[in-house]
Amino acid sequence: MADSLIKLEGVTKVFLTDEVETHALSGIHLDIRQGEYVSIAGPSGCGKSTLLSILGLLDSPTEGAYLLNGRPVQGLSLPERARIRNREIGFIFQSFNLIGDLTVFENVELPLTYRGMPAAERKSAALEALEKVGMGHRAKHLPSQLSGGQQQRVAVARALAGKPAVLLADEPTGNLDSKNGDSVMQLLAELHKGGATIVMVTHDTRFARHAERTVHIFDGRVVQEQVESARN
Amino acid sequence: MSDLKFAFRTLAKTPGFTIVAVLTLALAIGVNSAVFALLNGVVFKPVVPLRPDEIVNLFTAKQGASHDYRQFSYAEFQTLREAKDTFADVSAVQYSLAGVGRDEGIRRSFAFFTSENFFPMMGTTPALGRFYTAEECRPNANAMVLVTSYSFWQRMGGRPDFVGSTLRVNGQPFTVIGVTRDGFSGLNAILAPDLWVPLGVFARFSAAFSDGSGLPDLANPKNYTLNLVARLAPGVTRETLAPRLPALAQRLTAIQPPDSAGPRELQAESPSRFSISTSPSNDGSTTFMTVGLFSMAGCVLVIASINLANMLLARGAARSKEIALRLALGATRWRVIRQLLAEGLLLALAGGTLGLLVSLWANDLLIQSISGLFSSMNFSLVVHMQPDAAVLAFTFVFCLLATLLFSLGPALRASNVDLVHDLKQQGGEPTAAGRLTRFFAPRHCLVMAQIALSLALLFSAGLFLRGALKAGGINPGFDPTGCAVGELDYSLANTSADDAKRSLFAAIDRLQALPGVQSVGVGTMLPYGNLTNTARVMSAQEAPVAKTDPNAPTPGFNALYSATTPGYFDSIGVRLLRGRDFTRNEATSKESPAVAIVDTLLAERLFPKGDALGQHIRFTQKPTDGSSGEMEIVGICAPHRHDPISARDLGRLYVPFAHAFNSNVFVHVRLASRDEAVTLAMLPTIRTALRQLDPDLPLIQLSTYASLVNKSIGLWVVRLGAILFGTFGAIALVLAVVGVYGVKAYAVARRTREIGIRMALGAHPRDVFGLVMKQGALQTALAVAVGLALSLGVGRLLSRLLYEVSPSDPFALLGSAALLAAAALLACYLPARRATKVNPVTALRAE
Ligand SMILES: Nc1ncnc2c1ncn2[C@@H]1O[C@H](COP(=O)(O)OP(=O)(O)OP(=O)(O)O)[C@@H](O)[C@H]1O
Ligand SMILES: [Mg+2]
Repeated sequence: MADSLIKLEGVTKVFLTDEVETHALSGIHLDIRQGEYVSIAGPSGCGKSTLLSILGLLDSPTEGAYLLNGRPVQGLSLPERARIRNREIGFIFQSFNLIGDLTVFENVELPLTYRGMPAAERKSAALEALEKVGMGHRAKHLPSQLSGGQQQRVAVARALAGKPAVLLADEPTGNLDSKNGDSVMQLLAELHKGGATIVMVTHDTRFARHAERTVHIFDGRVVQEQVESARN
Repeated sequence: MSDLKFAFRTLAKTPGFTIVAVLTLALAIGVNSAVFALLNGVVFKPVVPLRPDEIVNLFTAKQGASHDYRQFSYAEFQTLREAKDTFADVSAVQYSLAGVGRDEGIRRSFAFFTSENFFPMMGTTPALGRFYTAEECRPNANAMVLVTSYSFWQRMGGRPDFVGSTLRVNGQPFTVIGVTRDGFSGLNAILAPDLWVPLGVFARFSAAFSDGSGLPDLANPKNYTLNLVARLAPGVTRETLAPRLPALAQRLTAIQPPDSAGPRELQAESPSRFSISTSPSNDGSTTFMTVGLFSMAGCVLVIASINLANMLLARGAARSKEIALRLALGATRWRVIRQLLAEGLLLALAGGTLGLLVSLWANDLLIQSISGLFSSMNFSLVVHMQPDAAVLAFTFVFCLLATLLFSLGPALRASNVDLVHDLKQQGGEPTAAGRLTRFFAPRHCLVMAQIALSLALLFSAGLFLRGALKAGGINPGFDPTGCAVGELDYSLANTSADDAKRSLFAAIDRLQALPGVQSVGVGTMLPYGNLTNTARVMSAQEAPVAKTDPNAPTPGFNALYSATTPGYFDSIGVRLLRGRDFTRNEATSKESPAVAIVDTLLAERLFPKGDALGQHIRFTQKPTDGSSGEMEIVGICAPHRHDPISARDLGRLYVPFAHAFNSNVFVHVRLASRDEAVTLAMLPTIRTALRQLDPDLPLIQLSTYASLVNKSIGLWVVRLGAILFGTFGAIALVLAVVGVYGVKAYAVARRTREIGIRMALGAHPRDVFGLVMKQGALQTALAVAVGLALSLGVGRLLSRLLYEVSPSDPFALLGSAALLAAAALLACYLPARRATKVNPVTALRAE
């Protein structure tokens, strides 16, 4: 068995609002290997997005350990976490989350600028990512000038551009019709074939089948792991 | 009504917004109505109650020598009064000081002597009792009656039996026969005399003013002491008056006594609102100051409106989604607009109410400052600075319109938008906007305009502040520390000149003997005081100019003129550079040889080539007492300033006290110690010593010279300028900071989602901080650049009012720019800090 890229040990997340404790995650154990395609499923409110935020270092667990590349990430400073997010993680959101003032190209280039990459390198990396998702011809457009499916492709390109260790996608097809959804899923599948590690939250069992493994969560716990063996 | 109730609930839900908006409105309305109230009281309100346009002051000058003014004689007054085809009436006024009360309680007040027709001509009636009659005003009638001002009556207790009571004025009993109406001040807009006295008492009243060499008798044809005010006859206008004046001047020339100097000229001018003068004076700089104040108030109003506009625009934009939702749910556009208008109305009402309070308070402060000054000058202030209803209404309506306009703007825009677009929009992020468009978005442009305007105001404040500091820190050339000054006015006690002289020298000897006293000297004019005497002198070698040639240049030089006793220079701390001080004999005896001391300034003017010491000079006008007017210069002293404002352009001339007696004198006591506390502690000792000598000594004031210097009008004016402009500058600064903060905080709130996205993509906290600060800094820099250009323009406009400060003073310029930029950046800093604290999970979750 190859080394885990991501290892969660007894991760718990408790939200405290108005004296009410919400146990969003209760003792999650999870191992994700390099190059794996994992889908996370479960009913609304079970903690899928919370799990993804923790994986993406946007949030920290209340308890438990998180090892990324074998290295514990608890206790890292804000700038260090920002650095890891920037280099190791690519986010894809349900609502695309492109920045409206920036062109398609600038959106894709943005994570690279936070790395201090020289402009010429940035340009080739961003264009390469755009070509990969088939949006190279729309580089100068503003997000508002694109369809939803196109916007999500750009978002995928933005997540890819920095060649992150893992892509985290939270219901990437949730805002898309089935045709556009299919094509985005196709894109992710191709990326996986190219070696990308992907963790994707989805309700849609149709899309979950794209993944090698589906983790079912119920009420903050992993209830079932199911390996998609027979595909194609 | 339900709209208002709902509006109230909405506003209460955002207390921060509501409080800042209401305070902004209150400041704008309050400050404006206070300034308007001040200007209305001082500058705009007509002074003369009845048809003020018909009233003119008359002046007469020697024909051809247009600046050689003198007042009128009683005979001239009568002649002009008969010119009924030109003047409906002419009345005479004399300005004088009088001591009211007795002994310790003596207070110096202005008393105006007028002819009986003065009051009816002004169109006023008594508030109480009656005004005086023609009989009482006949020369030498000596009817011991007087009328007091309304405020004087109030100060005396305001009792109804005041009329008929007896008042001691200059040591003589007068019967009060009437009280003028509240606010009546004669011709002046702000200063009213306490006492109005019939012209016929003048001779008796003023007997003690000089040593008898003057001519108090009104019937004397050479007694030119009357100032004339006229009302134009029906049908005569200011334009048609001018051609009639030469004929009247001829009539004046015809009645001159045989040995008088040449034909007369007659001039008519609108009365000055602010000064009391025996020659024409204009109100130009006051008017200019007024315009300045107006513009400042206007700027504050504009800045406040910009703030308001920004806040309302931001609020409107933030609510565009809510509005779109309500429209989608079926609300009519009119309903939505009505709703927003109700909110604007409510804001304006709350701001207006608070503004009224602010303006009352600001008025109080102004009145206190001004009346404090005037009471030290023995005038009663008649300005009524209640906030004027019209003014309040005006500012309120202005703010109401501004509020409604700006709440309506977004309302119209918001309710006009494409519903689908707005509902689809995420977190209110403008979609099609480029960065440049965002940089120059209306609210950012408004804030930049606000910063630029505020900078101009701050810069003006800086200029005045620099002036005030300079004026306060200027070396006057004399030394007020360690010096006590007592003012005596013997005319108030009706003491004869000889008695006064005896009393004064006894006082000098007594004070000289006090332990700790180094020297004592008396002068008739106080440097940095509120009184100025000048005389014109020339070298005695120069031939007097023939009277017959009116076009010859006036010979000699004007000089500040004062009579002193030995020890005066030591006492005020001015060095006698060469020669000697006056002797006791010269100071006490009029028969002693005529000598003079001049300062180096006058010495160099009179004798540019040779040595002035030992030279002879003489007055250009022969003294009325029959002496030759020729003097030998026996001493030369160092020059020193007379007031902190105007440049030192007049030299000084001193003569021995006995040679130019004046009943109003300043006694300078120089102490061995230079400690101000010691000087202050010495005052009671001085007072007691003087009282022991003569309990009736008319000691008007006794204080340290340093405190008098501090209170001088010149300094007060510069400081008032600094305070007024400083206040406006401070308000502008606060408003600008609030404006910048509001817009930045709003921008950050609007961009929360974007910030969350950037953080998810790996932006460092400092990247996020920089994102907000960079834009703020660029906008501030642009605004400051525009503001600097604006400031230079404003500085040029203000240059007339500035004191010893260049209109482009680099300190004020850099200082105000730095202050404003720092404040603006601080206002950006807080929202930028908040941006780094954005929680990306919540930001991304937010829909
Ligand atoms: N910031 C927060 N404060 C308080 N409670 C929270 C917070 N974020 C999430 N929760 C709670 O944690 C639980 C899990 O939320 P999460 O968003 O992870 O659910 P989810 O599985 O993604 O649901 P969905 O499929 O509807 O997106 C929910 O009960 C939610 O109410
Ligand atoms: Mg979710």
